[in-house]
Amino acid sequence: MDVPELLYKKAEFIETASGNKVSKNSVMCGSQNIILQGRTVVLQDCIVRGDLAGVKIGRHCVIGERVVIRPPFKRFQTGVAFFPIHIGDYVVIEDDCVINASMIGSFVHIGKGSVIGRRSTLKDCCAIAPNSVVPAETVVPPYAYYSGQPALYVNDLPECTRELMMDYTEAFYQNFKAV
Amino acid sequence: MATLIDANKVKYLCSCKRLKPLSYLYYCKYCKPFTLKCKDCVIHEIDQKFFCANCFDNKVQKEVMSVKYKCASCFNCPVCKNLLLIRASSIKPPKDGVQSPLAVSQSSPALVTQTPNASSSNPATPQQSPQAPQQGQKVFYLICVFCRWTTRDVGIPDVTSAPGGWKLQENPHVKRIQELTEGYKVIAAREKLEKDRKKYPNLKRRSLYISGSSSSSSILHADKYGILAPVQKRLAATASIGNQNLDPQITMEQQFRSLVKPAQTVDSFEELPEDFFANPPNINSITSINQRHANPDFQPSKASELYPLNKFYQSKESKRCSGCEHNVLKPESNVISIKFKLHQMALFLVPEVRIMTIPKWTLNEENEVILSITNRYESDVTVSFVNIDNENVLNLSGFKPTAKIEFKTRDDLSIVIDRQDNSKVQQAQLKQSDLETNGFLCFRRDNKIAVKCTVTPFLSNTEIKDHVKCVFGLKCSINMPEISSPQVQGSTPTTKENFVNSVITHYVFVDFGPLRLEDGLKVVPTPRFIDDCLKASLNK
Repeated sequence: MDVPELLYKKAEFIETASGNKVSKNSVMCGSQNIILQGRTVVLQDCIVRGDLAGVKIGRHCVIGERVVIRPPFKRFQTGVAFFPIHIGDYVVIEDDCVINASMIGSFVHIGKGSVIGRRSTLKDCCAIAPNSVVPAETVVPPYAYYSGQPALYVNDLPECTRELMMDYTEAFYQNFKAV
Repeated sequence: MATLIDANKVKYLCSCKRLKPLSYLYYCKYCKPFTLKCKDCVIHEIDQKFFCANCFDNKVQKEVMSVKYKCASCFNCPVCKNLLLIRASSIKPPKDGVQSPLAVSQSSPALVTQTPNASSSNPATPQQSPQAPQQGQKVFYLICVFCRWTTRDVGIPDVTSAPGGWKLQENPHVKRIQELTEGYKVIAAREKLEKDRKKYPNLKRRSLYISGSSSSSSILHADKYGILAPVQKRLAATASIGNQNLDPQITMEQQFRSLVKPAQTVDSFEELPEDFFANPPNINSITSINQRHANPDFQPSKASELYPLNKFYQSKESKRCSGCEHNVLKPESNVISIKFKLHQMALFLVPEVRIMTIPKWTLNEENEVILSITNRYESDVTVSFVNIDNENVLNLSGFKPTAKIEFKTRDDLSIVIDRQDNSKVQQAQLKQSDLETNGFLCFRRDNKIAVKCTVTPFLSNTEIKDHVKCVFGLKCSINMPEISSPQVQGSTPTTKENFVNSVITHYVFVDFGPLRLEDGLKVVPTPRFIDDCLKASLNK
């Protein structure tokens, strides 16, 4: 199937100078710590916890509805420390996901309803199946498709994943139009 | 994105007559006629560099062979196969002299008895054992954060330095396995020698080995500078095997028996205990079949016998064309790099067809469907559509078409799809020539076009639960550089590339999904940008 068309009401979204489109119904806590590089779409009812630590999201990303992005924490003897979260370019996070990863590379696809555990690392060009649970501190290598609870390697992605993800995210941005 | 779009809905015909999504196909620029190759039609070659997918520690093949391709510091949980993490805990000093000093924080009372060296030495007197952790010292153990299994559950002693050093199981049959492997190595070497002798019967036999009296005639003896030293070593080893094989009286079987002790037949088995039949089983203490197969060396049947599983080293893979043995895919040597030195994916050459709309189907009537075609080739591509009636194509790989697809346009119509131009953002707009197609070409933006076609499902009442499937031909005319195989051309490389216009017809197999709403049909209406594109073009 080709990339679907998604229409939105202009009053419900904020469009920044660099082309980011952020829903007014999403919660961006500590917005001074949240960096969206440009042409990123954040849909309704998302929660981005920039108040805990820095959140950096690359270009051409798609953050689905009801997604929670929360910087990971680590418990030390003296207390708890939060670490910044980095998300690369051309990343698609589908609806209802909870992201606690410390690093998400570029060209990554996270399926609907997945949970990415604390301080896990998703390298470039990997994909997580819908409804998967990636446990804490897991490393997902490039071109791997992880699925299940706990998420385990099940398959390889095609070697043209980079081009396909670029194509999808750019087309999504073009087809995301104000009514 | 193979996971984002339903890649399996549109498939292309591979050279092996199988149907595969375009993103999983490769092409070879040297093979004529041009064919698409799937992963079963290419030769897979593993790289010499191996890496652990967790710690990205990389090693060469010789090193990983010595450790049996197992990473020493990364382990998987034997229960859920998730990654095991290292946890540190400190040993608290005793509150009074009577209690055990090994009351470890974060551990349950049941686990205290299994703490470091508890099985081997008296925990109350740690100074007796030099390896026992001292009071206040940090100890490490492995834990699965998903199912909470720890190495303490099975009594694996904690270690004082991480990572590594965990006492893991040793296979009791190691000696026998080594004996068998060596025996088979000798047999393999002998078989190879005999094969070579049969292959070159007239070849004058001359010793290549520096062994005993034959050293004077050896060609390797002339190696003054020691360049061939490793070769000599290897040949000397095979020479000893070869010399043993010289006696044709000894058969291969006899030789094998002289090297390896024959296996002992087991006459009787221990009977199952009475409890096995009388008492109800405790499911929690028995391993599942997956848990048993995850550790083939031991195949533990009880949960108490589960040991951490080493993570295996992986390697990147390059692919070669099975016809001409040229590389079609070659990854970069850096283990975390996603780039390729050679990247001949069919997606970069063949226009990709995707389904844009799905109507609510009516049987035996024409339904309008929009297909999009994307060109990712470096130059413009001219495409035309061919209706396929050939029975041989229609019955390929069990693909039974249940609908007829028609492109209602003149037969000689060919459409040019522009190449991808990332330098500027282009608006969707039809060209003048597109407007003359009477609405057949309904959308054009950058390197993508959309065409209207009609699909007539001809399913009978018995097949009504089937999917709507059809096939058509996509005729592509591409300007490709003329490449001759380096093997044929020899040492005269071409300085100037000549472009040749090649016309290739690809068979495209489209599965539109279920016919009825009750079976899961999802209607996708015509997107608004199709009409907007037409209006913008007419207003121009």
